[in-house]
Amino acid sequence: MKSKSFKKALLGGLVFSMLAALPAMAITPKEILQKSEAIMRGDTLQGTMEMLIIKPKYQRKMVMQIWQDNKGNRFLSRVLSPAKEKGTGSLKIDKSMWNYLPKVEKVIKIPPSLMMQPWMGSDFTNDDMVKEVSLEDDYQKKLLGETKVNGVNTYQLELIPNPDVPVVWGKLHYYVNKSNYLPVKQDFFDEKGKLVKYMSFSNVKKMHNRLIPTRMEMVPVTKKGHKTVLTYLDLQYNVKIAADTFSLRNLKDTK
Amino acid sequence: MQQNQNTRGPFRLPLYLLCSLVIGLCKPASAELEQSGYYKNILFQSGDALYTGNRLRLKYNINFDQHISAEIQYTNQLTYGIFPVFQTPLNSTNFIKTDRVLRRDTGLDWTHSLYRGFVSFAYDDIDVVIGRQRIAWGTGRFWNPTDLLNPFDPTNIEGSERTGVDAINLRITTDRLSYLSLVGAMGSDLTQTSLAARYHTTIGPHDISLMTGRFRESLVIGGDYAGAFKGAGVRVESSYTLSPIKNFWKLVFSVDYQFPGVYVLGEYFYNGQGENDKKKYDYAGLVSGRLTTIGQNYLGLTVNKTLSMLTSISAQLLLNLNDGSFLMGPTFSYSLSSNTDLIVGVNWFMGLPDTEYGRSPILFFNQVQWSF
Repeated sequence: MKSKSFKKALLGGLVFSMLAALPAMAITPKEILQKSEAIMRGDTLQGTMEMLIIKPKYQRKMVMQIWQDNKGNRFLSRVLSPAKEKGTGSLKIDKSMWNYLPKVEKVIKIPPSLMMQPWMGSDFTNDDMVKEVSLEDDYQKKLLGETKVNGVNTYQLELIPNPDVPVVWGKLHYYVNKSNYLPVKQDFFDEKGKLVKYMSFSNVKKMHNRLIPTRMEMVPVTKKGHKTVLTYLDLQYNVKIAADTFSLRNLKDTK
Repeated sequence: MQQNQNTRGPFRLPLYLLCSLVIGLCKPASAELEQSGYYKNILFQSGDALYTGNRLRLKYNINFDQHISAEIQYTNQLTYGIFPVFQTPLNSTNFIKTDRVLRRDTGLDWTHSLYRGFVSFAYDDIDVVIGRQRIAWGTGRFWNPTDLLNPFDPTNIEGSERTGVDAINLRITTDRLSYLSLVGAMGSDLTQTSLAARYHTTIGPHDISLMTGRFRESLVIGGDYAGAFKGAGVRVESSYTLSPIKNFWKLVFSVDYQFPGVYVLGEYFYNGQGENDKKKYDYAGLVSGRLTTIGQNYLGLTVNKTLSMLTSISAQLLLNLNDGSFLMGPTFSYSLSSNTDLIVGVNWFMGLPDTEYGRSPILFFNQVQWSF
């Protein structure tokens, strides 16, 4: 009798453990990425961020406003400081991008070849800023396993760009916190599989009722003492952004 | 540090009065006033001539309410030396004379002027801008056949100093990437007045504009395009002019590409207004600011390499294909601080003495600019 009860309990425990483990096992890399991107991006995003570019012998700081409509694939940024760059704006709609240069009071169209170049001298590319390439749509996703990054249990995803996607990366490794799906780290590899730079996400805070990492550090691995730190100063998710925000008229508005 | 002393308009409004009118009298307590600007020191040597200048530019943006705003850019400048005559003075037909010599004494010039001064009204999809403003038409980088209101000289060592035009600009936004501009730029009389229209739109990855107008005594029709091909930026700009002297085409074809770390821009310019034969060059038109180029075929090239976040080197070539003369302009830029830049460069004019660029001596310059 005792032995039967023990077997039942053992069987029950086994089934329960399997059921408990089922969601984790069943989750696909696409779902992990979707959940992570949904938290970080939302449908719309609007706020202010600071960019600190750190080099071995000097630093430069820049503050800018951003507006992002992720469903409509639209992005606008405007530099608030330093004074030298103030009013410089970038507008992206679908695959087209324009810059407004207040020094010459002119809007110029940005060629696609410029997208992978450093943004304002930082370790971020233009594409990192405007997210022309979507991790969700433009990469093939694979779950490599689970690993600990900076003491956090993470899913490790491998993302390989689709053949027609204009990126310089051979692959990305994307580490997502298992408990809350927040990104923890992103590795960028060249086409030969060599690690070029990584971005770590930290300083998790509540902004506009959403828990997000507010500090992103981009570190090029071959350049000692170089890094770029992006900090969200304020951020609002899913607020209604007026349709004419993403327009040439508004891009020039330096007020 | 080109100061247009040739400006002669029918109205001479004292500068302080104009600024006071907009800032002082019109600014209610609730309006937001934002001040910025720069101080620049420039030094250049050309042959035996030495020129040095100090410029303070103050920029005021005033937002009266969500519909009305104004911008004033005031320049106070002290220079010593003689500005080289081959630097073209442009836009000498502004309606209101707003530059004034405060003191002139054996090579010393203390002047002040209004670089920009306009009021904007924005209601729904309509913007009206009245005053001295820049109306930047065209997609070419060195040459703009459709920028007839405020053309700039690509040989000017201060590339970001661009004259404005005294005009009324009515802009109707038809969708987020399309608009119609109707511009009236007053001249001293009807023959010097310009009336023009431009429609800009974006279709897929293609930016397209069409323009037409009467620019002083000429009738002009034109257009421009900006798009991309295999990662490169591609631009075309063209105009056809019917003028009392002759009818002519202008065409610009421009390509740029960002290689890893190196930016390259190439541009071809056909100027039907110019001459193939150097003996027929209109130098008087160039010096007076009526023309920006006198030859018929040009090639422009820019190569820019960013060495670090602080330093970059750039080389610019302007080649007159008709007479073989060229201007080579290497520059070195260094960021002294977040808001301070140093630029050192040379404008090296090469060619036979009777050619467009060959007649000018080599020019060395350095500029320091602090923005605030």
